[in-house]
Amino acid sequence: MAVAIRQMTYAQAINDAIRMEMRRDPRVILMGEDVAGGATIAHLQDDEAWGGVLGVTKGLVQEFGRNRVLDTPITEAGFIGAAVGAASTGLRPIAELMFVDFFGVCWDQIFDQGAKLRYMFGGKASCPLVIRTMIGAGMGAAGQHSGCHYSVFTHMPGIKTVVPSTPADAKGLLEGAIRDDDLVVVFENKMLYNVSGDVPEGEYVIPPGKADIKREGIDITIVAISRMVHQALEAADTLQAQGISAEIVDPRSLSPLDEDTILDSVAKTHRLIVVDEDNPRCSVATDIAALVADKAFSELDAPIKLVTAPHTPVPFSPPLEQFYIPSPERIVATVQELTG
Amino acid sequence: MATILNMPKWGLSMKTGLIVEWLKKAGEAVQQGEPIVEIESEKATNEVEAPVTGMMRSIEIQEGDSAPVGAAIAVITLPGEELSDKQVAELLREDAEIKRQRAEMLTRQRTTPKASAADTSPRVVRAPTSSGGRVNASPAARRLAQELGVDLATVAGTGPGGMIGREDVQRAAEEAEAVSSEEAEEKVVDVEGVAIHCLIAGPADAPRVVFVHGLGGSYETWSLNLPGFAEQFRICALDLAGAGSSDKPAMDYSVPSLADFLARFLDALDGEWQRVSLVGHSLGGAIALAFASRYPERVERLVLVDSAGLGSEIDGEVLNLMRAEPTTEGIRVELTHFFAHSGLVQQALVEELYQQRIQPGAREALLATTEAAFGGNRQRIDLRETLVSLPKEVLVVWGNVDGVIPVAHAQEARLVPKGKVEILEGCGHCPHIERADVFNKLVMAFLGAEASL
Repeated sequence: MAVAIRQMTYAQAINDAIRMEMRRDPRVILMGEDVAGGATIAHLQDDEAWGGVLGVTKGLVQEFGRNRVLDTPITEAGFIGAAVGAASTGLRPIAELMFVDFFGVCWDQIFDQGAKLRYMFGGKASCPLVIRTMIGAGMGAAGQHSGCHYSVFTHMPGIKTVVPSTPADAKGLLEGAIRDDDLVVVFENKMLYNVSGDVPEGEYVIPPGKADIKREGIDITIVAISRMVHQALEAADTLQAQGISAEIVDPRSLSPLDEDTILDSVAKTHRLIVVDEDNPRCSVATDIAALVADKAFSELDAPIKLVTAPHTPVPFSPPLEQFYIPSPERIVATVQELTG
Repeated sequence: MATILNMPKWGLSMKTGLIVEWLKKAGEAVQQGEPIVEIESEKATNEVEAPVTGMMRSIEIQEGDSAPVGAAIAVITLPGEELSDKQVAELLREDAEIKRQRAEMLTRQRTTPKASAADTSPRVVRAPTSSGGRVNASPAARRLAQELGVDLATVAGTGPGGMIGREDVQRAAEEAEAVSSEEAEEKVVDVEGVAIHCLIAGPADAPRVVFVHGLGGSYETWSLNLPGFAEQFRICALDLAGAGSSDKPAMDYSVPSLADFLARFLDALDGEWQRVSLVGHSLGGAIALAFASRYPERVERLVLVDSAGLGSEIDGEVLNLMRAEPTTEGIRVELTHFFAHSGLVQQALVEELYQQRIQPGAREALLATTEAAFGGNRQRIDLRETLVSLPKEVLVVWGNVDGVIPVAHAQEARLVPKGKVEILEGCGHCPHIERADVFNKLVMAFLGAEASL
C-alpha cells in the first residue's frame, strides 16, 4: 500500500504525530506550560492562544479538550513528577519541558524516579512517559535557553533519548516514543521547526534504536546529531565538489544507540568525524569515538575527529553564538585534514 | 663507515626472512666471506656471509624473528671504528629514511591526486617516522600491510601529518607487484605442440643466460639465483620437457634429444635468443654441454654445476628413490642426498616437488629420462671429449661433498683450454642452493667478464 506523502514543517510533523497518537490511544495526554496556551477559554480567541511557546501544539486542545491537553503551572518539578506518576499508573503522558536547560529543577523526577521505576520494582512497574524538550543554539536565547544536554540524559540508564533531524523523523520518532513502554525524551531542535520535508501521512512509527544514513559515501563517515545533520549535508556538498565522498550517519536515537550502522559505515570509509552541538566533555560524541576506537580500531585509517561546541555555555553575543555552533566550514576543514 | 646488513632477497617471491641463528654475536670479530647468520625463506635455509671484515656492532633482528626483505638486520663496524649506541641508532634511521625515499619515488610516480581544484599535487609528507622510531601508520594501514606483506618502513605516507594510510599501503603493494612482474614473466611457450613453462626476466638488452635444471627438478631449483642474475642479465629458466610444469609427452628423453629440443625452444622464444650462455645443473649440465657441441655458434659461455656427462659414477640410491612411486617421505629422503646439510630440505620444497611428480605423465617422463641418461645406475653419456675440445670459456662448479656425482669429475675441466674449476666447500650436489651467495657472485663474474678470446 502506497503511503501518502505530504510536505510539512518539523513543527507540523510533531503536531501531526501527537494528533495521530491521541486519536489512536485515549490514554495519551499532553501536558506542559502553555501547551494549550489559553485556547478554548471563552474570552480568548483560539488564534491568539499560544499552543506551546513556539506554537508546536496549536490546535490540539480544540480536538481533544482540556481533559487531555493540560496547561500546567511553571513548576517543572511538579508537573514532570505528576507525569511520571500518571505514566506509572496507566496513562501515556507527553510532558513538555519547554527548554532542556530547565531539566535541573525536575531532574529527580526524571532520572531518579521515572528512569528507575522499572528497575526498582523488579520489572513490575513501568513509566511509558514521553518528555518533549527544545534544544539548540542559534535563536539568540542566551545561555539558559539554548543548550543541547542530551548527553546528560543519554548517560543515565533507564532513559531513551531520540534526536530527530528531519520532519519525517520528528513524526516517526515521536510516535515511536509514545508507543514505547519506557521513559523517552524527544529532543526537538528549535532551529529546525520551520524546516520542511516529506512526511508520511497517517500513523508513522520509528522505534528508538535505529540510525539512518542520510547520505551515502565512501571516503569518510560523518556521524551528525540533530541539526548537525544539516550542517554535515551542506559540508558534504562542498566536499563532493572536491572529490571527497562523505557518508552522513544520523543516529536518530542516542539511547539505545545503533552501533552496527556506525561500525559498518566506518568499516566502509575507514575514517570518522562526529559532529555534535552538545558540549564536548563526557558527551555522545566522545562516546561514539570510544565505541569506534574500541570495536573498529583496525578499520581506522586516520584519527577520529570531533567537531563540537566548545566547553562553555551558549553565548548570547550573536557572532559568538554563530562561532559556538559547529559550521559546515569547520566540518569541511576537518575532513580535509583527515583525507590529506 | 659501518656497514648495514640487510635481509637478502633470494626468490622472486621472497617477502620476509626468518633469522634462524646468528653465527656471530654482537661484539665478535667477523672476516669478510665468513658466514654470520643463517636465514630461512619460504623454500630454503641459507647462510649469509659477512660483506666486510670488522666487528658485529649490533644485531637488529633477533633469532626466531622475521624481517621483510631489505630491512636492516645487523650493523658491522670496520676494524677500529667506534660507534656509540646513539650513532648506531642514527645510522639505522638514516638508512630507513633512504629506503623510504626510494620507495617514495616509486610510489610518487603512481600517486594520482584526488580531483581537487585547489590542490593538484599529492601531499607526500616527509618523515612518517615518529621521534621514537616507530613508523607513523594508521591502524587500518598496519592491518593491510600485514595482510599484503608490505614493509611499512618502505611506504611513503600521504595521510594526515604524513601518516601512512591504507591507500599508501595498497599503492606500495601494487608497485611491488608491478616491479616484480616487469622483472619476471612466467610464460608457456609452444615448442612444436609441447608446452614449455619458463621464466624470463632481466633487462631486455642484457646478455642472455639460460638455466637448465637437472633430473627430477624444475626451474624452481634456481630460485635463489635468478633474482640476482636478472639484475645484470636477460635470463630464461625453463622446465625441461617432461619436467616441472611443462608438457610430458611420450618422446625421446635422451640428452642429445633434449639438447635439440632446447634449441627449438630458444627459437620459439620471443626476442633474441640465438646466442646465449648456458648454466646447467647435473643432467642439465650434460644437456648444456651437448647443446654447445651441436650448436657451437649459439653458445657464448658455459657453466656446468655438479654436471652429468663427465664420468660414469652416479649415486644409484638417489636414482632408485626417483624411480619409486612418488611420496612426500620418499622425496624428502631423496632430497637429503642433494645437500651437505640435510636441514636445508624444507617441507615446502618437498610438497612442491611432490605436486610436480604426481602430475599425469610425470613419472613416465622421469623414468624415461633416467633410463636414457643413467640406466643401470651408471652415466650412459660421456661428454668428456666434447668438453675438452670445446672452444668455449667453461666454468665448472662443484660442491666438495657432492654425494650424487663425485667431485672428482670436476677434474676433467682442468684439461679444458679455457676452463675454470671452482670447488665450493661445505656443499653437496646443489652449490647454487647451498651457497647461493658465493655461487651467484662467481658465476656472474664469469659470465659478465670481458671476453678473453
